[in-house]
Amino acid sequence: MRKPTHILLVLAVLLLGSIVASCALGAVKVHPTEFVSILLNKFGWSDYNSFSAQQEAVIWVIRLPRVITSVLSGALLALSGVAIQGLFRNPLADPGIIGISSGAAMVASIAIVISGTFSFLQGTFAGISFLVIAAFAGSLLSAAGVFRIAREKTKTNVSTMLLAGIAINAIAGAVTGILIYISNEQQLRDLTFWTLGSLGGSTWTNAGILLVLLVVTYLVFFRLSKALNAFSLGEQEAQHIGISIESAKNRIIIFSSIAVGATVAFNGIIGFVGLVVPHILRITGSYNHRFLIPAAALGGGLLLSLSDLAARTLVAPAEIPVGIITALAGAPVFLFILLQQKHTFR
Amino acid sequence: MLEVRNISYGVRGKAILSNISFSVGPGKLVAILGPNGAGKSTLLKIISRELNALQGTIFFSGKELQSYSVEQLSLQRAVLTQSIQLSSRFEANEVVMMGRYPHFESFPSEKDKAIVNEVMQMTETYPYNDRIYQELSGGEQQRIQFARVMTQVRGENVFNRMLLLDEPLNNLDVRHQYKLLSIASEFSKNGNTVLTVLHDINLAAMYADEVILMAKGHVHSIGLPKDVITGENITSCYDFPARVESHPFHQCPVVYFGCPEETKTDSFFQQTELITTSNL
Repeated sequence: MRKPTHILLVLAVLLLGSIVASCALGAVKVHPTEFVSILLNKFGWSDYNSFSAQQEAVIWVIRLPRVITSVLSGALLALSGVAIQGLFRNPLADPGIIGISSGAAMVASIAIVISGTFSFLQGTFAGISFLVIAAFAGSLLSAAGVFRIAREKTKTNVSTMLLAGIAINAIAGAVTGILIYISNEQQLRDLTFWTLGSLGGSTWTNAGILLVLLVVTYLVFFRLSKALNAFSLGEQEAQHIGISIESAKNRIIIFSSIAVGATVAFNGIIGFVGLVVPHILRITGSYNHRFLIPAAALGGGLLLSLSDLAARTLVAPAEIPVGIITALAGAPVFLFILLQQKHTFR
Repeated sequence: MLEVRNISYGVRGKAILSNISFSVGPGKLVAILGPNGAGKSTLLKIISRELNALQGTIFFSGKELQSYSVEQLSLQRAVLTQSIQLSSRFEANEVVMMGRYPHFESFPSEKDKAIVNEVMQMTETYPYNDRIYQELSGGEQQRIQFARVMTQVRGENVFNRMLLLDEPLNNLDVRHQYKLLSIASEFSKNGNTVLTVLHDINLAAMYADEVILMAKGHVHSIGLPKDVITGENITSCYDFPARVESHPFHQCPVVYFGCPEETKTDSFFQQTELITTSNL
């Protein structure tokens, strides 16, 4: 495990660098030393003041919550990607591709339109919770549905899994279409944000909720790393080496759905993170989930924070929805895996 | 200690196993023999809890098999199934380490690592311990899987554990067929139980303490190899002419196929007689 430990270290350093760079770059430039100084001041560890009030406001109110949200969301998406791929015994199972994200977005969109009619829900913690729970329900429903449909006696039928994903994506597309048709202008803007994905709406509250979910999901999945490894032998064989497969499967489906549901609720659909990150980690590191799970948390955070940096700086002062960036980067990887799998694909 | 009582199984009204009963004491290696479709693998699957019997009960170490939790069972018995397809590209040693999964929480202890090394030396798989499983040959993969189940049941002063092997000799060369059976046999000698489906009757005759001969979902005969492996039993179960002699070195039964028993026997003796008389 020497090589994988090195990769974890490199990923951690890169992630830290990406956080600092993302906070420094943008319309208002903040030098890394100023950034550190702002943090030290905020935590009360230093009185030394080398920055302007504007810089402080930009960092504290806008950039830092956004960067942290991107790191946490990326980590959650990549973790759910790793877990779902382990469960399906197939590297093509991405929460976006098999319809989990769009299932979450569909139910969450309905929730937006409903909560639009109840003004007391808007912007409050109750409103946010309502949205998160709706998104979670949507992701859970589609994850469990796809798994049931695609599962044959001892293994998962990959083509059925992908086709079920297409079906769910189509249903979600239709429902979103209806919602767009009946919604007012504000709701329309919200819905567009959902389907393309953006980290623009990040707040400290969102980041806090995501942090709690990430810690829980990470701990659950790390404890399941043996089970995820064992699944690659086959379900029966996993049971013979002491894995309670039904409970492991349920935990994987529930916690991936929570992870995906929460990120979709706050950021809309950001595709391909769950696909690309585990794939790169497997070919550079190891297939062992004891490595893949911590590595996916770091790598997912790294990928999404860099993607969001690109999304808001490439065409500044305008912004590209981050889902477009991750799709541009991720779709070629998807095609590459497809080509690789051509021989075993069925 | 394994006790199988009146096990029956079937699919869609078609009986696959009917009323199977036998018991295996500790310290025994028992071979299940029989033609294709006799129900050997199904029986092993029921004993490993992959399938549920329609009728009957199984006792393992005095307790009903169904009363064990998955974890408890995995600490006391290991199962080698047929044709495992690994979906992840693990290194050989990582696959063998899976055998220790019941014994550690998240990180393997030094003892677990030592056992993996020991078993890989023993099964002669150590030379490719860091190779990718999918890049190994079929026989090498099979030996890795066997090493995995051996690490699962290995430990200090281990007894009353059970090994279930379904055609473990698939893809193995002669040397490793013997190697595998002698490792399994040694394991059984320390107070453990090995139950294995075999196709090679001669290897079963050499290594098994007891033989269960199955045909058409029934136990045809059960007992010591020399009592069960007879020309008559083998010929009728496999529907193929066979003749059984005593092995000149190992003193166990040895089967010759394709020779009709009586006529061959006659000509064989006539020939020996001829030679001896001419020599006199």
